[in-house]
Amino acid sequence: MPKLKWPRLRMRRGGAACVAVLALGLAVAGAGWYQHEQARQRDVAVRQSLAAATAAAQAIFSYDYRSFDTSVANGRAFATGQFADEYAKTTAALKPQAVSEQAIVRAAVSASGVVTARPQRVELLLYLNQYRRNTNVTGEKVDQNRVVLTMVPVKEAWLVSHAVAI
Amino acid sequence: VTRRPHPRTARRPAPATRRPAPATRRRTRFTRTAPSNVVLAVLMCAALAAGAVFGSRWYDDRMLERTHQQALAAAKQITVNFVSVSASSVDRDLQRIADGATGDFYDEFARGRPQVRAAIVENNVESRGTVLRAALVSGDRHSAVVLVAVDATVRNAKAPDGRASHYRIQVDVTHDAGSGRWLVSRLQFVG
Repeated sequence: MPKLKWPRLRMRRGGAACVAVLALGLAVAGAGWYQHEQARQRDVAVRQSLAAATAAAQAIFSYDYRSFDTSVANGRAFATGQFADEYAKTTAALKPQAVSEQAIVRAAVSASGVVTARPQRVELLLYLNQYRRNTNVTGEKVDQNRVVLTMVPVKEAWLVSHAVAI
Repeated sequence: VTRRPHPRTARRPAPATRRPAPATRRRTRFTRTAPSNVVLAVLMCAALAAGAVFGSRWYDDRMLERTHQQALAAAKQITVNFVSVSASSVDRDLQRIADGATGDFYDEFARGRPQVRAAIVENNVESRGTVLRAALVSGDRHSAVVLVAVDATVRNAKAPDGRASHYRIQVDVTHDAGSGRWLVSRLQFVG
């Protein structure tokens, strides 16, 4: 009987080792695939949010007293969630002054980069210039701003969920 | 699956005598388990290959992520050094900037250094910088472009109480293979 057990034992041991290696290989492959997929999704998020950020920032931080409501509606289209409401409130409060001062603000992005990135949330740093004209300034005045935009995907599009000048 | 029962039933009547039984049984077991062993071995190889492929991708991602973090950290530190100079420690401060510089930035800094030093001492400048945010524009394993938003309080002969400065800086950082450090090869104020 011991003679018989021996090969069976060896077989079992070999089989167990095989299964263990198999499981380990699968575990590493699964974890690797998941992590790589996360990284890939993060890259896609970064690319798409960066591409959307310039137009979004220009729309949100620009306005023209002659077509104030259109400017605001344009900016509003790039905002989402609580920030969209906040934006509507701020611009509504700004309108009387903008009209009386005949203010025209044109925003342009000089540079943009990624602060943090996750597949569903990207934080960007933008160097944003605002070229301002109104009755109080002669010619054009330039404000050099630093803006942090938080962007989230909403139905295929990346929208601004938070914006703050630092 | 359908082929299996055949050899089994064909071989079962074979052990007629008692003595060869163990050997035959052993052989039967071997031939019986052989296909599953082969399948197991193939699966094992496939799992190992998959593990190697996806594991190495994961490793590459992690390495790149680490590289980006190192580039960002170096960009922040060197930028802060660049806006933090004091008349009382001017030589040490300027040397610290030079230590973090390479390429064009190093050359430019070295050229302008005597004038910068004289201006700092003459105006009794004391400047302290803090990083508000750093952002990666682009980057690979060897170089990166980073935006660093920095505020500094600058005190000098004309403004003894200090004046806040807001900077928009962009730096190109390069990995120095010799020292393993990330150094700034270009520094510009973005207009």
